[in-house]
Amino acid sequence: MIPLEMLALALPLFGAVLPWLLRRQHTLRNCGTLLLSVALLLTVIQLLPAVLQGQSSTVVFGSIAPGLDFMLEIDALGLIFALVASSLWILNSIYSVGYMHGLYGANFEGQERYWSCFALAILAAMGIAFSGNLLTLFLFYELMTFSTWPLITHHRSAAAKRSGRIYLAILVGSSTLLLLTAIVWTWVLTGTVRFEAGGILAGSASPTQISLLILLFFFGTAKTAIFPFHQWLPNAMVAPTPVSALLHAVAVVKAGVFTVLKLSTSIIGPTAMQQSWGAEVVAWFAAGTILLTSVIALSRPELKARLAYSTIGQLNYIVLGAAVAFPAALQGGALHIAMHAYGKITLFFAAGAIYVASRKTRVDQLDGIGHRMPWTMTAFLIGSLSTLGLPPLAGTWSKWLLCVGMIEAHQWAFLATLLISTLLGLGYLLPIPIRAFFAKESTAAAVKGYEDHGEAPWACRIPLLVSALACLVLFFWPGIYDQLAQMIEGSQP
Amino acid sequence: MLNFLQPWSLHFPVLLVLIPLLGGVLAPLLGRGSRGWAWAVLTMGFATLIAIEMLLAIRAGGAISYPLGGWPPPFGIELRVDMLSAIVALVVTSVSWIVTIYARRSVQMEIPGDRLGPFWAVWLLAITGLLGIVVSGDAFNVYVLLEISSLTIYGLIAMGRSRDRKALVSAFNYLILGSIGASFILIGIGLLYAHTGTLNMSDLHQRLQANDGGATVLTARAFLLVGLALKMALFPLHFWMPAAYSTAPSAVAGLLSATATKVGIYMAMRFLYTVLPTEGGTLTDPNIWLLGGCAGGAIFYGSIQASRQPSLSLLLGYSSVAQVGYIVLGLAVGHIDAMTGSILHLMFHALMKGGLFLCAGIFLYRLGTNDFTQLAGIGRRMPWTSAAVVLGGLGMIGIPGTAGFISKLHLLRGLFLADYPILAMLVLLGSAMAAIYTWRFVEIAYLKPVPEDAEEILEAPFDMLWPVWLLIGSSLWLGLNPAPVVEIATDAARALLGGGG
Amino acid sequence: MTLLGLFNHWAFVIIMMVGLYAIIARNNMVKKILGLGLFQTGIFLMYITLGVRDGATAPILQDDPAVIYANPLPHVLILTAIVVSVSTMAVALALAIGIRESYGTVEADEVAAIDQSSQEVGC
Repeated sequence: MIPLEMLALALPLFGAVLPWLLRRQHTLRNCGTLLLSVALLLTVIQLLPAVLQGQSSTVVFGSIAPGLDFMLEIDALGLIFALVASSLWILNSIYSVGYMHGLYGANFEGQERYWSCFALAILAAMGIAFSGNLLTLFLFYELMTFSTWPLITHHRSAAAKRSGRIYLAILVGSSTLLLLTAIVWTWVLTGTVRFEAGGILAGSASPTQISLLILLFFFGTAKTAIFPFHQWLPNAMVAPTPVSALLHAVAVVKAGVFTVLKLSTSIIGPTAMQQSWGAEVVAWFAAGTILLTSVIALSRPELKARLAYSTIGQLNYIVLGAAVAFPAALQGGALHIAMHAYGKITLFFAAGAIYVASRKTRVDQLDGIGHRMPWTMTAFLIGSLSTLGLPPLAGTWSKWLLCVGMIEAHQWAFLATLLISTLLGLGYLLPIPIRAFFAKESTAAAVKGYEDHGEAPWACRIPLLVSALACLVLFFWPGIYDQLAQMIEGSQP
Repeated sequence: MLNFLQPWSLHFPVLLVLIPLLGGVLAPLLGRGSRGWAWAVLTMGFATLIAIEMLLAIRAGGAISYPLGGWPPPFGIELRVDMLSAIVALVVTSVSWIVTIYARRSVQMEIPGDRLGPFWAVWLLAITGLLGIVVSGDAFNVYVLLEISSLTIYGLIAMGRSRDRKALVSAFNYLILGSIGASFILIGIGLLYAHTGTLNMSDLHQRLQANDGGATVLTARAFLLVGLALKMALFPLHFWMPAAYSTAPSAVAGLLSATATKVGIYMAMRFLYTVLPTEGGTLTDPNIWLLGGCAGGAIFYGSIQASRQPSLSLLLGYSSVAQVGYIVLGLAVGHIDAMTGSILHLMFHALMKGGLFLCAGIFLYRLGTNDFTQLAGIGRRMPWTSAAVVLGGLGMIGIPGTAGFISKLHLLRGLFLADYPILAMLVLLGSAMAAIYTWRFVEIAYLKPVPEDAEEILEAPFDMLWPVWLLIGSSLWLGLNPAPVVEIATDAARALLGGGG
Repeated sequence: MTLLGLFNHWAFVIIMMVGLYAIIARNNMVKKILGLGLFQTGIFLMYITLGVRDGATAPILQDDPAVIYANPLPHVLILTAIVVSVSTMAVALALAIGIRESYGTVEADEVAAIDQSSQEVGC
């Protein structure tokens, strides 16, 4: 009987092999992938009871030296991430079929690579979620970087190549130069790299060292897209939309913010975070990133670029929460991983659906499109409101908690940042659905050949409706996510 | 331990040299065709077996001393095998065995039929020389065996002439530089002998440790350092290497990158730590900064050059320059963890770079060239070979999950603990730069379209592919489960640094 | 003692340097090889010098304890080194012949120029 943690890694691994076994048999492969993703979600759910009861177990799957292993261990924070990633993998698989087949035909070029790398990215997400020490986390962190590169460069165009380069340069550069330094430094200082409640650094490192380590850790995790390492994310928009959704909502960026939350709670420790000037610097950078990207998002006419900048801002909410590290802030950050995911994936699915149906990519082309695509644009509205954290939608809870955290910490400037960015968000997101429903459609904006389009195919529409519904449901029943978030180290007052 | 080898267990060190020597002498008698190849495979397989058994024996019972002809050291010639020698011997035998297995087709294509017999003879003799250096406990014997391996290697490189006449020139240049390097080593050994009156390495070390004063030993150290730097292709004395590796027959390039430079590094470790006097087990500061500076230069220069080369073999050659820099960094600092990292990287780099050069050889075999212009879109035409190159490249970068990460981790820890964070940053920068040249291949292979006029080509034949995947695959396996290897490397490092080993 | 006493050392250092100069400065590959030979000969002299003692004779065991022997070991060593040197020469000359066959010249700069131009044509 293999442990469930290993099963959670084995299922996506099999999903990565499957496309090569079933070359050209795309129906069979799609069904297989879907089955695997459902199985993965069920496996993750199976893991819930033990964690909720506070039990923990470790699985070692490789050893470098005594005391330095590749090790899996499950905790509440990891389960939040794993639940998000595995549930959205199902939606994203369905959506991928609709989007890729709708645009490029059932036998699109490079389909084996596409499906395989997608599954690998999910594998990496699972590995990050369940990693028991920094070493394992780093292993899967890098696996995620390299497995998503072929997805970003899927179109092989010059732009794709350029984006791929920026993507790798920022992510690999920061992780090898800063993150790895921090990991080795931690190892040298404490003699261990394990995640432990309350952190491992306290007592073995001086305050200055802790602050420097915080800087190395937080800026080394460039997947959070913190300024000045945010540029890869807008560039990665060149990828097909399901990939963007994967990057933004499911795996890559969430891996980044998960990592910083994990570092804050289990390596550095909330107490040390609250006292360190390093965390202060990070928090100011995060706040600056939030405002900066909100302003940039206002000025971007391409829908996907606007969503990308919005994502950067939302991610830095979580970074801010991790840096401030007061109980409610940590809890809110953890919850925001989940809540933002459902909202943002809805938005990306909608953007992709619009493109499949009408080939429109710019915001100013979308006037009146709500009449042609009522389902999609309703979902878009729900997604926007949830992303902005307005009731009655899922994003409310996490944003509320984050604000409470800022108040607890007496960080009025950061509280103001959160509120201002919400206002700015109203400015760049809400006009889109409003104009879609109430503005008059202009014929000049229509793309040639797609003047009289309707809704996107069902395979595109179902996932986005489901995720929009999830936003609603999670407001009234945040249930499991809320319970898990309350169990995170340092989130109890 | 295998039972039939039991009666011979005392003689492992000398057998390790004798087997390839005899094999090499007999190889030309076997004539044309594949018989020479089969003989070489057999010989190297046997040698590998002995290297494995020797490693196990040393792990169980400590270093082996073997007095040749029964004359006790320090008067007679001694073969002395400790953990480090056993590791390097195993790397040399096993990798060259795998490369030999791979080499049949590419050698038959690149070497004229009437030279096949001599080719395998020289091939085995080169390995003989390298193994001899590794097991020798006598400084002058090291020189002689070094020249045996070098002369045969010049010959091997020159055999690339039927593909590319530049092989002759690069072999000639390597010969001149290599001979100067070996002569410098000879001068160094002579000066040490003049000072101490002994040639036995451990005896030398004891005497020098007791009386290390004097310009003689300092001069000897200088000559040895320059000579060794030439042999292991340490920047700025590296320039023979990329030329030689890219023009040599492809199997030879694989063999050399995995063994010859590694043995050069082994000699440096041996001479710097167990022959020349040390200061409480480590080098003095000027030595560290000199070697560290050269290593840093190697990492930068090698990586930058590697990312601008026109062909895969040249890229790999310059990448080797950079990788030698890593190993020398750990060697210079002399902290136990850094030394462990160096020894680990010595092993892992042999696996990965050996595999990569074999891939370059496969491209050569199928396309007749491995210029990047011809490799466009190769990822779709030869998926297995290209994937092996990518995985090997990831190992060069030191991505976690590959063996390169393990050695890098130990190296970094050692550099941090020894208080050389600047050198640690060099290692990290170097691995980021390795990403640049690896990704150059990836973009060409996977993002560029296949040239329009390209002929239909097949994936590499299976008997060339599996040795490659054996090398690359084992480097991946060791990336996840390196514990036993780390353990023996730590033992070797401890013995080398004199810390109770 | 000081300067003249080190006469042998002066001699071998000068011979070595002449050889090294020839390797570096000569363009002709055969002359480079000759330089290498000179260089190595200098080293042989150094080793032989190591074994010399004033008034010593060949190391053949005699009954008279007053007889001083020269140290035979360096001489034996250098016999080996001479063999190595001869083999190096042989390989080097063989390479030079090969280069002459395929390039038609053994001048290093001409060979480099030929390689350069063929590369340009090739691209």
